[in-house]
Amino acid sequence: MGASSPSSRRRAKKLEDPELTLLPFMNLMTLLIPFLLVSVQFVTLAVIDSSLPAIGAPQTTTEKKEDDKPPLNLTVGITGEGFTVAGSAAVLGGGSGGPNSVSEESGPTIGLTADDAYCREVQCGAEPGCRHETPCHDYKALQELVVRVKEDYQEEENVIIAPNADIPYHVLVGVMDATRDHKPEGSEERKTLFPYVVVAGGAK
Amino acid sequence: MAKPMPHRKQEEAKLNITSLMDIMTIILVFLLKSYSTEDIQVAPSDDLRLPNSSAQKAPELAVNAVVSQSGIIVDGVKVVDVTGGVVGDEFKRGTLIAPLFDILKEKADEAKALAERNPANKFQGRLLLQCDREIPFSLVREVMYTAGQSQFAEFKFVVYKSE
Repeated sequence: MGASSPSSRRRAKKLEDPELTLLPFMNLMTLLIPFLLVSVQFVTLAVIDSSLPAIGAPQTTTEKKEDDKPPLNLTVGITGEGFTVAGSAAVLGGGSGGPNSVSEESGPTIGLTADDAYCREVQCGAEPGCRHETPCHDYKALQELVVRVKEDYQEEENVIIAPNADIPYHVLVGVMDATRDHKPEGSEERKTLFPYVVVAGGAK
Repeated sequence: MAKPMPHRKQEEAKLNITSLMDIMTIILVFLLKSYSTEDIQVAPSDDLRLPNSSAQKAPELAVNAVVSQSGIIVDGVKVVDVTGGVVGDEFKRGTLIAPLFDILKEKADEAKALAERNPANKFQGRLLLQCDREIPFSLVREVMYTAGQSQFAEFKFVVYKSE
């Protein structure tokens, strides 16, 4: 203990100063980072499935034969004035039987909404400086209606969407979103509505 | 072994890279988190702004058709011009977009030839459709019709996942 003087001991310690050799690790990092940078994903994508309407005999339903209910053939027409919701079985809205007795009404089932804040949220989200149009299509009301339809037709999973020629594509996607699934209030899980979409040619 | 030379002499200038290491580690973690193995390539531009959607299904590899405000692009090759949401009449046969039909037919034939040699890889007629959010439905319908004629009947509309 007393052999070496405190001063010389301190100096020795200072000189040895253990240090990690970080350079190889740095090399690894500099290689990894460019590699990861090129494969980085800034937007997350998803897809919506849709199939062409079959040519010939329509096969739009996978309905259970033992079920007494006629197939629903839920159809959502999109026009510049709103949505026209119809079912070929004519049970929509509590109408009495007979196919095609619910024909296109004089006006849309669900009109446009003039709620500016809603339109902005639907069309732009959080995007700043985004141009939006008011009035716009009311997906929320459509979804509420479709949820009610689904309650009566638990087995049905098909929806036919028939937009007009001048309807922009994002409205079509909005309708697909509204009819695909919804989040019931107070629930975290999404509930399926009509996930199988057929896009019809629509009226000219 | 000889005693090492006095340190003073050998001492070299050393970079203090510890702080740089800190940065790197954070970047590395961030990049690893957002690492994607997706096969779909989307090149967003002013002409191609995909719509937002609540869809959750992950995209899969298929023939990729882009319908932007300026043109229709199939697998990275521009097929036909689009102006104001309309394909010029000279490219059309009724509802059919002729150049698009030709190239999709080619792709379908290719895929079928492949499927013949490799039965595990069946031709399913899947088409990834990336459409700009503002293009009118009439153009989407023409593209879908043309694809249907060239045996692509299963469409996958590519959208931005909003949640």
